[in-house]
Amino acid sequence: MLDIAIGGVLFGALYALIAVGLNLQYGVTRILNLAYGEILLIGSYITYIFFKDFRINPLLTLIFSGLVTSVLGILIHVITFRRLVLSAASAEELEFRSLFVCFGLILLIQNLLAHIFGVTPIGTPYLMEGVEIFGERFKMNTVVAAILSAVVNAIMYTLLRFTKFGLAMRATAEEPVGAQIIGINILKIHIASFSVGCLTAALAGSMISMIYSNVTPYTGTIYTVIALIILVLGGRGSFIGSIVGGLIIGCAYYAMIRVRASLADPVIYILLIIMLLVRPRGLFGRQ
Amino acid sequence: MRMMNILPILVIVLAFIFLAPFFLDVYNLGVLRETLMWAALTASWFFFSGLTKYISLGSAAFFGTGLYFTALYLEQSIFLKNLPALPLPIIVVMAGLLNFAIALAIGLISLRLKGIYFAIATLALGIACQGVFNYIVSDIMKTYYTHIPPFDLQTTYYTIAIAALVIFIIIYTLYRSNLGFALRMIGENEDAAIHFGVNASLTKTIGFALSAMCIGLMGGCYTTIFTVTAPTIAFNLQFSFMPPMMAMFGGLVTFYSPIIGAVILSVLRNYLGITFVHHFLIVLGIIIVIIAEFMPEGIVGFVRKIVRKLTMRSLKESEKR
Amino acid sequence: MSRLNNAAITKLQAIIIIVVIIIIAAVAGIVYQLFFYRPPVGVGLPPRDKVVVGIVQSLSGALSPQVTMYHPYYKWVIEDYNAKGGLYVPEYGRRFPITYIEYDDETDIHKMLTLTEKLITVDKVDLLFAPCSTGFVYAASSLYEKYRYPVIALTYGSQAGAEKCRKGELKYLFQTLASPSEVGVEVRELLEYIRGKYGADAVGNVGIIYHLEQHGVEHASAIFGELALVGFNIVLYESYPFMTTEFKPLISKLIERKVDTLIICGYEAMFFVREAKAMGYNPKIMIVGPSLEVPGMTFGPLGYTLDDVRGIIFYDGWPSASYTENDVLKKWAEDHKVRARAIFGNEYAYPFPAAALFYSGLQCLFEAVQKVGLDREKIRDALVTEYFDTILGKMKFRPGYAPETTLGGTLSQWQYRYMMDTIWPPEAKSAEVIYPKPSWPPS
Repeated sequence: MLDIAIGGVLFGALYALIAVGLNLQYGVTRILNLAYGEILLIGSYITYIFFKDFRINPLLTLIFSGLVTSVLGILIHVITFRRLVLSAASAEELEFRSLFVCFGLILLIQNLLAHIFGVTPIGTPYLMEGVEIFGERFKMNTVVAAILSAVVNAIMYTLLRFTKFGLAMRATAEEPVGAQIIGINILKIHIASFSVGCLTAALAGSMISMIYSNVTPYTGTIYTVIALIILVLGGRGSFIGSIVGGLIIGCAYYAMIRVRASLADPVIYILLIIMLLVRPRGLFGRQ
Repeated sequence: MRMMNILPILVIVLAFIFLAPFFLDVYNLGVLRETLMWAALTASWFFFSGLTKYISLGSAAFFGTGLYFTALYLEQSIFLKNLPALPLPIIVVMAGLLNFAIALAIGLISLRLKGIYFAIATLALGIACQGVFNYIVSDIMKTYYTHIPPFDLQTTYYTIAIAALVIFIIIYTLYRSNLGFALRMIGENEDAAIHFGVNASLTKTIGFALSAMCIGLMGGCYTTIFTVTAPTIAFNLQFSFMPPMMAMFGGLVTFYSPIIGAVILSVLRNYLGITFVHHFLIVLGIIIVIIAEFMPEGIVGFVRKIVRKLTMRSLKESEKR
Repeated sequence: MSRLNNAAITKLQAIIIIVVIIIIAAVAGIVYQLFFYRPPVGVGLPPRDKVVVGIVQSLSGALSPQVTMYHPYYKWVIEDYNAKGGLYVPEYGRRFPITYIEYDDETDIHKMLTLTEKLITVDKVDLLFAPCSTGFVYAASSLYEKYRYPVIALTYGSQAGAEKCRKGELKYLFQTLASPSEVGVEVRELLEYIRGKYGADAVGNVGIIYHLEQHGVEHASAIFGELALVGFNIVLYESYPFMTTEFKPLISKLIERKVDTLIICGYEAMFFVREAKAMGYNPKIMIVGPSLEVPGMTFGPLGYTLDDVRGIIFYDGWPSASYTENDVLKKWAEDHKVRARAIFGNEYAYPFPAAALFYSGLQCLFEAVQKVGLDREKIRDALVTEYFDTILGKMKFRPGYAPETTLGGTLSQWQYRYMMDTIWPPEAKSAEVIYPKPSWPPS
């Protein structure tokens, strides 16, 4: 029982790390970034470049891959989404059109990765030994990923809660028009949150290639879907929500594998659909 | 007036579609078959999602259900003789009606969701369906593959072509009907539509179910190209992603614009994307981003705008004279 | 204006015209179908300057990673024959260079089917190579029957398909890998051997876990049937989601049920082993499906060491050639290492157990051409009746079963080399089976 609980929490923490970026991006900018999983893969591949030739510890290159990807995020936003934000008449139209941009980005990033790195699976296996927690044994790297997830979420929380910048972000998320009136440069906030979202995506990508080491250019969609599930479960723009959502999904998946593994996948999605019907704004979402 | 303008084009297109097996080789016929399939899917998708702006990313659920129902029925009736053998059209229509019923139930409860939440719910529906069917065929039935009797190329082509035309006619009729008008009003402004006396939830549900029915119908006909099927084939996520992509490529402006988008994308993909796929898809990705940026109404909307500008200019010039 | 037009032709008339066209076209189609359409048949003896092979592969999309790992042999065998001066075609009495036409199906089954049909009818290729993955091959098999193309399928193993082959419903599809029922027999025999040699409780409690996909479902049920028949104590028979990465709860269950012999029917052993090692769960015997058998992957991206995987038995593939026993195979393995280096980008690009089989299966196809010419009917007959010289010695195909070969067995095990050793059947083994599986190395 204990092993499932702790294992589920560790696994859920990784999911929370995957989801936090998408939640930020969608929460603040109202752009549903369907290419999120592909951006996450960019993080994996940057880690891989260093690992492959120089055997550099993936944890050391975390910052670097995060920074590169966040710059990339800024570029993506400035080149593609900025125009949409400026020209879209309503939030609904923005969501609608950005979805189409994301289809293009998915094709673009996926095939660029395949073209540059080839399609053979890559990985940066590291810290694979076991570690003991409360008498149960776990993989070291999942523990590291869970710690990283906690740190990232804590930083994000402080950033949003206690800084001026965070205040501006929250204001933009909740009242875009009002925020503009009181002099917040909405576009800047959008770009910043988009790039921070890409940064955390890259961190999650590095963790994934470290833990599973079976990354190909076509695995991105899985992570997008995971992030979407947690976004819905936790609620738009809520950090607590994405953490709790991640943990719930993680524990539910673990419990399902234990009880009846063959039903684990459908149950997660059916859970999501039920959640959407009962409480569409998520556990912690604001209307 | 309009009818007369497009009648010759319509006749040529119809003649082309029906006579294609006489002059097209196998590959081109296969591409045409696939193109018709995508066009029908995209038109069905457009009828609900394009009009109401409720983006559905769950076409795969209905497509796969239609495909699987037909496949299972064919297997049970022809190979295992558990069910009476029926002609294919009847099975396919049954598949469509089944989808209508399922979508009615799903629509009733899920269409309260707005915007992106509806998109996520339908996306999850597609994936959940794959999981459920996977569970059924591998854990309950213990035979992973479902076998389908082989059909020859001409039969599959005519099946899919006729189904596509039937779907176009259904969708066109609905598009011009009061239902289509009500859906479009909902898409423009849902609150205003309710104010004008549109029963929004009923309209949406019926629209969603009709769209799902057409998708399921096409799914049923698509069964004929396979000899075996499996959940990963039937519920492939591309059936969820391609219709919206094709529809937005063509533009969500009129009945025929999504179909044009589907035809262009499918043809491009099949002729350019068989040897240099990565390059082609990279370029396609860039093109899609450009279209999303600069042509919010898709290719058709863009062309229309240019034509309108040109006619305006010529009108002005003639006025000057 | 519009009134005038309406007077010229009403809507009703327009509809009638369309309906009439449809009816005429449909009738014409049926007539053509019934009286004039003849399926294309083989050509006589046209002038020829090369032999063309058609390949449809998933070079992009979800299956492409498997294609890069398992299917480079298509190109290599063509290269090797061309290096020898080409393929000898008896009808013409001379050698021709082999060229190939390759299309990418983007892991889309419809595209694969149309492209295969295009290769056959438009490009009129002489020979055809199979696509990747069981589902794709099985879906395309009706085309091979229709156009009568003998095809050697590499990464393909299906019970349903094998039974059709045995019944003669699929005459043109040849499998190189053993079908699930054969794998079941081999696994049972190995376990019986271990039981006989190391005592009655050497095998102990057997656990079978399998993924919810065709491979897992068919293999697990075959192995389960075989083992239950001879009274092994099967304590766990359970499925898990396809490509899941999380095995921790399942391993807890295995520990709880005291599973001594674990059989994993699926591709997920790469995740399983990592978790089992971290948790310190070490079964006495561990038999896994494809996923840990490619050295370039196992010791490369997946980051295992030889100590990690030592003792793990791999069930798929025939034969798991022992690449060090025979000079030809030794040379081939060295060649493999050089050639596959670019694919994996590391120094472990050794062949996996079935690699030589894939290569030799394709060799058989070309050898058959050299013997009976390009008449595909004759090639088909030759493949099932004659033995051909390959890198695995004499080889002959059997419809619905793994081919007969001189060298190699079915089951192989990671031991002390970066290539797997064959351990079963006894007459083919290159090393004795390591029992029990060594404990995980300290890290």
